[in-house]
This record gives sequence, C-alpha cells and structure tokens, in this order.
Amino acid sequence: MFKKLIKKSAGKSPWLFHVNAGSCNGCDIEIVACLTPRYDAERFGFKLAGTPRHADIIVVSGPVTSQTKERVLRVLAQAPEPKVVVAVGSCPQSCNVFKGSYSVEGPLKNLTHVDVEVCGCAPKPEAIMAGLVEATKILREKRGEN
Amino acid sequence: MVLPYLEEAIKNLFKRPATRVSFPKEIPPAAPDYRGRISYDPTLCVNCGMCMRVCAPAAITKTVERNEDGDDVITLSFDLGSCTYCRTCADFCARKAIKLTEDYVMVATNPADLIVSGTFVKKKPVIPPKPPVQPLPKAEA
Ligand code: SF4
Ligand code: SF4
Ligand code: SF4
Repeated sequence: MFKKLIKKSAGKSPWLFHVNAGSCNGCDIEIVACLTPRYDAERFGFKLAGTPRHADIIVVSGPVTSQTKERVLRVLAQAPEPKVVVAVGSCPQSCNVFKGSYSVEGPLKNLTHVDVEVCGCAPKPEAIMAGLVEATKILREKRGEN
Repeated sequence: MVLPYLEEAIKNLFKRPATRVSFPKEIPPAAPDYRGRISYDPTLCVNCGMCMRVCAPAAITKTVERNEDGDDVITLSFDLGSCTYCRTCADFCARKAIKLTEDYVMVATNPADLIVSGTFVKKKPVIPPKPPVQPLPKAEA
C-alpha cells in the first residue's frame, strides 16, 4: 500500500538531471528558462535534481566532447533505472555543426539509447517542455503504469 | 518600516502570475521570421545541389534512383535533428523550394520522424532522332 503510494506520487513528479556534454550554452539557457516562473515547467511536477542518483529524466545538451564523454557515461551509470534520456538540441542527436571535429565523440546515441529528441538550435522552452511531457509518458510506460 | 518586504509581499498577492505560457493548452506563436521546421517543395526544385553545398552540418542528403522508364527519381532529405536552422539553404535556393516555417515544436521519440523529404522525377532527356547523313555531292574534277 505504502509502496504503491510512493510509486504513484513518483510518477507525478519526475526529477530532472541536466548534463552539459560540451554544449555551446544555448540549449542550457533554454532549459533554465523552461524552469523559471515565466514558463514554469514545475507545474508539471518537474524538479531539477542535484545528483543523478535522484533523477528519473536525464536531459543532455551538447555534442559529447572527448572531455565530457567519461562524465556523461558516469552520470548515466549513476542514474537509477528506469530512466529516460532526453536529447535537447541538434547537438546530441547528430553533433550538429561540430560533426567530424577531432574533439567530438558524439552523437549521444553512440553511448546510450535516446528516448526523446527535441530539435532546434536552440529549441524554444515550449518545445523542451513538450519533450519533457513526452518523457514522463515514456517513464510511466517503463515503470509499468497505465 | 519594520518589515521592509511586507509591501512587496502584499503587492505580489494581487499581481497576476508570472507564468505567461499556458502550454500545452495553447502553443504561443513564434517570433516573426522564426526559423523552425523545414518545408520542402519538390515540385519547385531543379536539383541544382546548392542547398547541400552551403549546409554547414550536412543535414541535407540526396538519393538518386533510376526507375524502369530510365527516369531519375530524386529524393532530398532534410534531417531536422542535424539542422542548425540557419536558413542558408533557403536563402541560396534560387527556386525558393525550401522554407523554414514557424512551427517549432519538433519532438520525436523516433529519429525517422524528424526527416523531411520530398521526391520528384527527372525525365530522361528526349534526344531527337538524328537526321540521316546526306551523301556529299561528288566533287567535280
Ligand atoms: S543545439 Fe545549437 S544551441 Fe544547442 S548546444 Fe548545440 S549548437 Fe548550441
Ligand atoms: S537549392 Fe533549391 S532548387 Fe537547388 S537542389 Fe536545393 S532545393 Fe532544389
Ligand atoms: S537551415 Fe542551415 S543547417 Fe538547416 S538544412 Fe538549411 S543550410 Fe542546413
């Protein structure tokens, strides 16, 4: 009964962890804007977690550079299953204009499965929110709810 | 004043909420001239390849197949997950076949949904039959 309650409430408040995998800061600013009162993603229950160990949704921006690859892998390994990986911007999906650079090891799909892709360079906060709402649906499915 | 923030706190109680965006109930329009989802009109395209040449992240790919009539079936695919939305392709397209629309909610769980493509057929050129070679008039001695 108690476990059921926890499961139900956890589905309503997914916690995010944001990884910057060598992003140009464009996408990061939009993610932050998404959490500010003007856009207020918290009304969907999202909350920025301080550590990947508490996170349900991992938001990745940036093309995964050689410097960040190890860190991205470590963060992904620390997040408990079931987790949903959201790629924000064109960078994690395809490396964007950094394609073929000597210091880029992406795209992200070489390292892990990507559940939701949000396009744009940088995507508008509304688009990021739409992606996060999509991610919650996938999270519920992964947990075996509805 | 003893409580310097009291005035501000009371004001805030009666202010309208700071949240301006009632997403997902309504999707607010993008700024004018926003560069969003690409639309490609294959009926206008003349296959000059200028768009592919200027695209920095190489988001545009072209495939050419020959059908049974000997015509070329040309497909241009724009990968929205690779595009940096610079609009250079649209600016360079002499036929205005590419447009960047104001639709900015591009969310997908399957990367194949992020490909915008269009196909057109380039007819095999009709080569007119050669006129029969006229025998040269005999040179008179
Ligand atoms: S997608 Fe564009 S805005 Fe986002 S990190 Fe990459 S280059 Fe920067
Ligand atoms: S630049 Fe325009 S006309 Fe030329 S190939 Fe691209 S879409 Fe077609
Ligand atoms: S908008 Fe820029 S990045 Fe996107 S397809 Fe056109 S030229 Fe390439």
